[in-house]
Amino acid sequence: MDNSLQAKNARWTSLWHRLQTVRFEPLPSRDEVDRMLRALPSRHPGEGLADWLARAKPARRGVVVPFPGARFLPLAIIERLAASSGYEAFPLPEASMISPDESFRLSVKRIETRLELRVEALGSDAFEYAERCIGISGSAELEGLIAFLYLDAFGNGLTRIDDTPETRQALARPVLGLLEAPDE
Amino acid sequence: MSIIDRLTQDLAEILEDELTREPVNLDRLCLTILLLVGWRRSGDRPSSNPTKSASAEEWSSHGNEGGEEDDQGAQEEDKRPALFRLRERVSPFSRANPYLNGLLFRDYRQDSQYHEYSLGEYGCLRLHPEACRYVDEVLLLRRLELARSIGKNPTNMHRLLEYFCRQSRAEDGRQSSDQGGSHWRGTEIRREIDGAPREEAWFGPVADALRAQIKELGDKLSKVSYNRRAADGPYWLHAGPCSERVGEELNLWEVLVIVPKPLGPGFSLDSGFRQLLKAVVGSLNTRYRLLRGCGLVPEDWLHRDEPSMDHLKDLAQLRKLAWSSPDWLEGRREEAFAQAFAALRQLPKHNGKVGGFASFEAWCASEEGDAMLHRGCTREISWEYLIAGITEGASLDDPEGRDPFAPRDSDTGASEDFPEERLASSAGGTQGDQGGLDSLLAAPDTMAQILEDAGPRLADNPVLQAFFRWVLVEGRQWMGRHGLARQPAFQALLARDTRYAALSEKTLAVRLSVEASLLILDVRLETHPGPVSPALYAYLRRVAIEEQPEPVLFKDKSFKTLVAKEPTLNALSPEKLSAHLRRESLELLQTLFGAVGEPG
Repeated sequence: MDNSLQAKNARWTSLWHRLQTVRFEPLPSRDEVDRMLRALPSRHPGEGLADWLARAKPARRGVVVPFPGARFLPLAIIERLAASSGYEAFPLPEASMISPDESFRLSVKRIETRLELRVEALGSDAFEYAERCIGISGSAELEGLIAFLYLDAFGNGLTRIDDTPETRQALARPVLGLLEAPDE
Repeated sequence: MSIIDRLTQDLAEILEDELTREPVNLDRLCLTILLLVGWRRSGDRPSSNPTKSASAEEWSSHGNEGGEEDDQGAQEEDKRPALFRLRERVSPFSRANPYLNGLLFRDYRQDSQYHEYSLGEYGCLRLHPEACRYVDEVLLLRRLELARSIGKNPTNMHRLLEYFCRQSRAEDGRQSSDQGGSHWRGTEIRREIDGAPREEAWFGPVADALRAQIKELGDKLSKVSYNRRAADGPYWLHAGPCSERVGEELNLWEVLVIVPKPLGPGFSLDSGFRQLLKAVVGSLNTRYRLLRGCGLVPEDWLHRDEPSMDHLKDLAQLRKLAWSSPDWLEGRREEAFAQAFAALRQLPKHNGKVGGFASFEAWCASEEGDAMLHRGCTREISWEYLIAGITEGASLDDPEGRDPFAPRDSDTGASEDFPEERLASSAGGTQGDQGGLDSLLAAPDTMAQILEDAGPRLADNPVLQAFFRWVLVEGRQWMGRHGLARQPAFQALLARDTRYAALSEKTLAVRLSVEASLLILDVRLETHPGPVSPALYAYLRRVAIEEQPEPVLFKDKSFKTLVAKEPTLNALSPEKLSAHLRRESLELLQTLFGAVGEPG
């Protein structure tokens, strides 16, 4: 290999490596960091970052806040045709629920005192909604949100929420929607 | 540019932003660094149209084999936005944050698994699971031990403390009319056998912090530090008439606590400061980088003395060799390691041992061997991780032999000396002074050569050309105050180009990243001596770089035609075809981009 060819290869290899280190995200802004700081308790001396973050107070009871300024864009309303049991005011669905357009499957499982919600985007919607934030609400509004989760690269997501009358009521006619930040 | 260069640039900017404020808030600084490294913003999706469903057929509608794409004129141009929109929906995030693939350990959790913290009314904060550990245990709290080579000189961490003190705007007991400038300006740290503390009121907070650090450090000193202190005395910090003892070993957090704040503005652009910071960060990162290169989980191994740094270097080489074996990709990892072990043992520099083990069986039976075989990297990972893995362990952030400013570790994984004259001569330097491979791109005629190499593919695309010039050649930021994306001239270029004018900033970033990757691949392939089959080329472009789902490519008619023309591929089942193309792609990428810059 002559020198000029070697130089060309080295040049373009360097470009490749530099491309792998480009940061396309902006640095966290002052405003973003300050809003988080306001939501965090004072840090104890010597406290690890993970422990500090874990001490943050949850939102007010009954209010689910995925991120500031979130918008809820309904994607599917699941109508449960019949109750699974007549003994409870809002019984949990025994079988997985599929949205009318077959875009989503929602499964609910009770684990001790909590409910495990599993959302699967089906078919090509798995690509459409992969890695997006999906909310589960009792209505078509953000105010009815009972849970949110992020779908993975395959369009699947899982979360656990408290088993309360409010969440059971919402799951009687759940609305699945996309949660988006204000700038999207 | 290595990932450590990138981290250094970003850290310098973040440090200046916080340390020049009044009042300084170090918790805010830590949180900002944490967000830099591992935050997944909630709004990281460029698409906002939930009603538009993207089908597999849409992917397939762009099913021409990649090489034809650039030459198909207007009709193809019409299709490109749909293709890119789909690709951007599938995996935009890891491309946006280089630290996820290039810095953080990633092999033992699912790619998409993030820690979610509920921050009250703020909502959910999503962080990469390794980010907290990296920022806390590697960057902030890891103390650099003393290297034997530095003699009486201060360590880099001491020099960083000295540098910050010299930038201080804090009270120093002088009237503004006094001659000679601030006492802090003349801060010095040096060893003295007969030093004595001298304190005035303005020096009190720094003296208190220094004493508290020494108390905290206690007797937890390396043998080298202990012997050096006994021979030459402890370190003393002098500022004007005041002085106080400094601990033998410091971590970055302690430096930030001790420094008299606030600092004056502008230091983040000082190339001398950046080189010093890079040396510090490189030293802090060394053990973590090698563990990552070995596939050893930092959570288990970061704070242990064994394996030593030399053994870790051997083991990282072992894993790299095993990783490139066909056996590895086909799941026969033990065989891959066995062959790599046998090959490395033959090298004279190893003296018949690899990582301190005389036989493969002894390595398998060891704790580190068991961990490398069975815990690290036991699952398939994404293409972006694999591409980052091509440079794993011995690439641009490897300090040996290429970067004159890179750290030289002591035997225990520690600090090194940083010539003071480099700081003194650095004022007014440019940020492009990276040394090593980056110097290839620093030559004044580089852009002209790149344009000549690429021809009309780059010359006829002013937006991509600007991206190459500003970000890839000059090494400047894409985002941020001085980033290309915010430059009015660049925005004017965008507005004139219909291919880019309507794209959001995030979508544009992904688009340029993919287009640049494809162009670089094409140019490198032009000088590749061996033939590359059209099916392999299509797989490389569409799966490895554009990250289209593999099943979509396999259903594509034009791809099927390409496969049918190659008897060896046509005979394979879809599973074997997938494994074959994956292995061939990785080998080709390794050949094209992995070899340059690796040691001997």
